Amino acid sequence: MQTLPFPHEILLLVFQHLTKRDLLNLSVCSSELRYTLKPYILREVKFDWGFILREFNHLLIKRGQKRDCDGELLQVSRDCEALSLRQFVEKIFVTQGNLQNEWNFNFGAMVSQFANLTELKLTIESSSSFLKYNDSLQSIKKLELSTIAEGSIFNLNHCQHFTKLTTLKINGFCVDFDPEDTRDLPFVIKDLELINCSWSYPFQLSHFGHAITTLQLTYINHQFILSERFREFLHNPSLPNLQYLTISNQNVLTLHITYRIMKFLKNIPNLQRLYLLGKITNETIDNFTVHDLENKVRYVLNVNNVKIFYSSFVDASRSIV
Amino acid sequence: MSISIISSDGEPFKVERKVAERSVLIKNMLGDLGNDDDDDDESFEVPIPNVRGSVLQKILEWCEHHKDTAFPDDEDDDSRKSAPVEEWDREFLRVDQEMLYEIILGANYLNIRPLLDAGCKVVAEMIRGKTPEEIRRTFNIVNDFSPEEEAAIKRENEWAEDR
Repeated sequence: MQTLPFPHEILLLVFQHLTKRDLLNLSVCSSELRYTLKPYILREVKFDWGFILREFNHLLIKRGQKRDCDGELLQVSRDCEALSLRQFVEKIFVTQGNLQNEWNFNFGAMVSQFANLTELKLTIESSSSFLKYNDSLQSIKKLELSTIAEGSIFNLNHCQHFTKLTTLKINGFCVDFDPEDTRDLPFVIKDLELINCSWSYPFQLSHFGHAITTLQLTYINHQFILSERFREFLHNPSLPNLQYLTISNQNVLTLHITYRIMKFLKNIPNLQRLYLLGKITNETIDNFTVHDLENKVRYVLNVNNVKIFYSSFVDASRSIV
Repeated sequence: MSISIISSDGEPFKVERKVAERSVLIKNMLGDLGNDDDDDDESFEVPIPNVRGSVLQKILEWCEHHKDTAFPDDEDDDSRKSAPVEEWDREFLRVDQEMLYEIILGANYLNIRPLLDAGCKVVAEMIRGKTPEEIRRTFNIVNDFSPEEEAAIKRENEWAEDR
């Protein structure tokens, strides 16, 4: 008899209750389990720079490195074993920032060695500008960038080689802008998440593209959410295709959303859900109870089909459960 | 109204409709047939060709116990995932491994989501936090790797390790 005689749909239900460590331990029990589990344990891999430099040493540009007659850097071919592993990898997470390695490492060449890779998550020491100088990143659909030095520069043109990008998540950056930057960018972002990100005039979130359907804005001990720039965004989001908007304020100070601002909902014709989480006071909603919220919002603001999840209600409904 | 459920080995089980309807498969089947509640058709039979008698009996015991239980919404993945296995279910699932697997497979076939979830959680608990050697003992697994395969795995796991 098989060890776990289940079809995949049931195995997935079991695996969701297990950690990566458990799956690894299970996978080394027998060849049958190894075969079953291999795609799951290799789906997402986490690399630190020590590992990257060991496995992909040939992709680090070193001073005085030999190039072939086409000017390409000479590469060492890797063993077949490693190549067969790579087909399972769908997401790479680089867990450390290292300024020097970031600028000298050929991420594009690494990415191109993984046939099924679609997600890249990078921890970056400061600005993401080194990404401009990488090529062949076209397999990546989902990119997450997290900087160690808060306030480092992010510019949309850093992502110019991610031609198939649809999901972008950036954490800790100051968004830099020049009208030239947003012209002719090849990708269409649909899902955007900004954590502790700031921007200044004349940048607007709509410069990320009008195709955005999901937008999440989170601020944790970061005061930008209380700034005039952020308020300006609330007044005029200019994101015509937005369907899901989340604003989360994890600060000591409260974000006040006035009635006037709530009218911004009218400017987002396709909005379906609005989540207001954390310390947010909304004078429009505050007087309502959870039960008549929807009707009142419809009546007061004259917007249809928007479901609002407001932190005090969300918390209240959670505590009931 | 009661109906008769026939196991793969031909054993009939007569149960209350409400009990049988814990299985979404049977519920939909009865719904499709337009069989109304007031229809006092004692001879109504539902063949279940994928579940043998002894397993079906266990599953119906669970359905009987939970005939009035309100379970969280099927859509609510988070609360379903995080909810612990309740004590009665845990005791109910304290059976030999083969029976446990057959209950899970039966619950999957009959579409009884809360029983399927409980079974999967119990299997996960048998694995969680254990070393490979402990897992082999629990499930009676024979280590069938050659030394070359062991070496390959060690190298593969370097990739899979969290760091």
